[in-house]
Amino acid sequence: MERTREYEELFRSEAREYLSQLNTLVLRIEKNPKDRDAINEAFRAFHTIKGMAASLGYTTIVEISHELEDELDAVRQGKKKVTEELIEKLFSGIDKLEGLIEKKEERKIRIYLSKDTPLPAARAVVILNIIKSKGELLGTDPPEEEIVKGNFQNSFVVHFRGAGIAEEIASMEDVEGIEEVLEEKEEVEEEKEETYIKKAKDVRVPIERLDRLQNLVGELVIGKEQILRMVSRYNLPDLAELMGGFSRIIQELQDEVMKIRMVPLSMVFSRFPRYVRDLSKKLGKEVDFIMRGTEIELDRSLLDALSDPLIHLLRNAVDHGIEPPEERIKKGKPRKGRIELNAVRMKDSIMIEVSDDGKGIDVDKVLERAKKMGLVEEEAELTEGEILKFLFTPGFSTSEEITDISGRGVGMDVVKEAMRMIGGSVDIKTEKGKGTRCSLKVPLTMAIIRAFLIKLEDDTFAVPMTYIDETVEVGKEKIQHVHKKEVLVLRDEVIPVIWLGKRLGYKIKENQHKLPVIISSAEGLKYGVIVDEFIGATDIVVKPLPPLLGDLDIFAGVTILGDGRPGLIIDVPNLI
Amino acid sequence: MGARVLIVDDAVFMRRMLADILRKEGYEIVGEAENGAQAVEKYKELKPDLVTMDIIMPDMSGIDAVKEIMKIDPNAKIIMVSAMGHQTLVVEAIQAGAKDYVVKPFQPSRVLEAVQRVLKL
Repeated sequence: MERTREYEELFRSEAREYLSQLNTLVLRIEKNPKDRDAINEAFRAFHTIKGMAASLGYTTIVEISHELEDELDAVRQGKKKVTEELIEKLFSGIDKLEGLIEKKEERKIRIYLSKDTPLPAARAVVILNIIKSKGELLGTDPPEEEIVKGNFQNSFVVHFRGAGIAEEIASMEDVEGIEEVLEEKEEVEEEKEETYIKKAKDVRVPIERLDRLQNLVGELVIGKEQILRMVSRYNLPDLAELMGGFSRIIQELQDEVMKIRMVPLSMVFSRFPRYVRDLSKKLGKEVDFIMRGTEIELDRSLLDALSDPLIHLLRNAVDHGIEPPEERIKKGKPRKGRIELNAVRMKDSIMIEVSDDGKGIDVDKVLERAKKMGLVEEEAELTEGEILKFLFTPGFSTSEEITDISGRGVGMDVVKEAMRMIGGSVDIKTEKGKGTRCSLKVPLTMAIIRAFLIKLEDDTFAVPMTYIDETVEVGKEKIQHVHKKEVLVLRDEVIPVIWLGKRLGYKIKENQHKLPVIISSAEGLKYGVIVDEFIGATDIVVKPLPPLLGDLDIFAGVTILGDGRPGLIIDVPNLI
Repeated sequence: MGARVLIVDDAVFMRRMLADILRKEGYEIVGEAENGAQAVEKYKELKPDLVTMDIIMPDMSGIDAVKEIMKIDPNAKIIMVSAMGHQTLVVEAIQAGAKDYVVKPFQPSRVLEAVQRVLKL
């Protein structure tokens, strides 16, 4: 029986792959009904699934895939045309198969024995044995000891894991019928959304164990930094040489641990084309959806954290960005809208952009709304970047009105918060009538990050590299006052500045002529952060802040510096 | 092509009836035994695809025979043949490893259904 379990596992993982391929293939067929390669490939995929399922006796899976295979065969032979109904049938068939393979793996059914069953207890035990040998029995009602004694009224409930078992039980002689036992809670709409966000499943090691491993490596990194500092302070050349090799090993260890946690973006992203398609269909939009860079790898827990924000952004793009076909034609745009999801690997981060060629955001309307909500004074004059920042205000988006007029804003605060949690940032750019582009900057890994160390008086702070565009030193005279605000003119660009020292209650050095400035951009806004002194880039281990009183969200965490002192990590987007 | 079956029952009449039902459907009866001890010996010797096993027999009961055979071959396919009212014994036999059961007096269709299902396992 062990063998059967092995086959079932193999079947599931292979079928999963074929179904994911099928989703892509059917999308291709929908786009181009003459795509013979796609039709042939889809035909073969259904055929293969059917064959595998048949040898395991999964009759329902066999039936469904057989029917779809027949449909595609008819298309292949020119007997049938690719119609909208056919595409729908294929998609719903794929969903059904997925359900049978994934969800139905675990089932709770009530089994009714016919009234004249001879020795009902014996029949029940035969059934329980089938479940035990082909799958996993998770529970029964009444309890198994009672069933064995025959203490049940011609029906009993079994809860088990394993595909095809229910069908087998249902076909047994004394079994009159089976009935699905439904769980109490059922949220239909949300369930639907969930199926698009399939979390990566293939890591066989519990993620907590990897977290622990990574923490330990983190401690090692801190220890190494401390020793290195000691080495340079007491000038110990022999130890320095020894530490060189040691550091390399720690670096390698750190890289390896990081790599173990990496999975390709496609593990989550492969669901998106189908999501965009279904959503645009529902909303009467026509959309070409293109993804690039899905082979890039990212820490698994970060990837999980990305699905929700990306679903938000894609929904916004389809719902509020892309115009209905008629409206697009009127505007002289191509009938079909275009949404792109591009991932690009940067040095220490990944940039993921969702862009559309829809109607863009009406910045004036956003400002109007912000004034109405009292977020800004009536006569204030703001740059476009500053105005767009209001979109990230919690509650800003929930208004029906703004959703309709601005064409954007649903859940942007959710996106911002999700990105903040993982030490990333979000940026938004828009052009009225032309489209919108949202960029998510995501660190490659969470626990150990590249950071830039800076000083205020004698204290050291860390700024995550993901927040830094560049660092510059400028003469004091470059800081000017415009509309009562301080700005820095850098290469003809006017950038608002913040004195970090002032914000944190440090004294400002009056006699400093050169000012170190970190240029950062987040949430559509570029700004400069003035500090006392630059120290340099280093790896830091992020530890969560202990719970403190007061509003401290300008700190993202704390790290132990090379000298053993703690250094607070500045959460740049929350400075302003 | 028919599967090879060993029939175990202390009554010649029952063995004949079972054999007839099975032969008609193309199964090959490779041997018969009239008690548990003999059943275990014949199982070792014949390695049948399937065994039908009476519960109450002299010498060694059907249940003990099931336990012995399962020791020899954990994949053995045994169907219990029992009279009405022996529920506890049948349950015990199934828990010991028997795959299914039929109740006397049996209808041929029930016997064949059980045999076919068990052979597919």
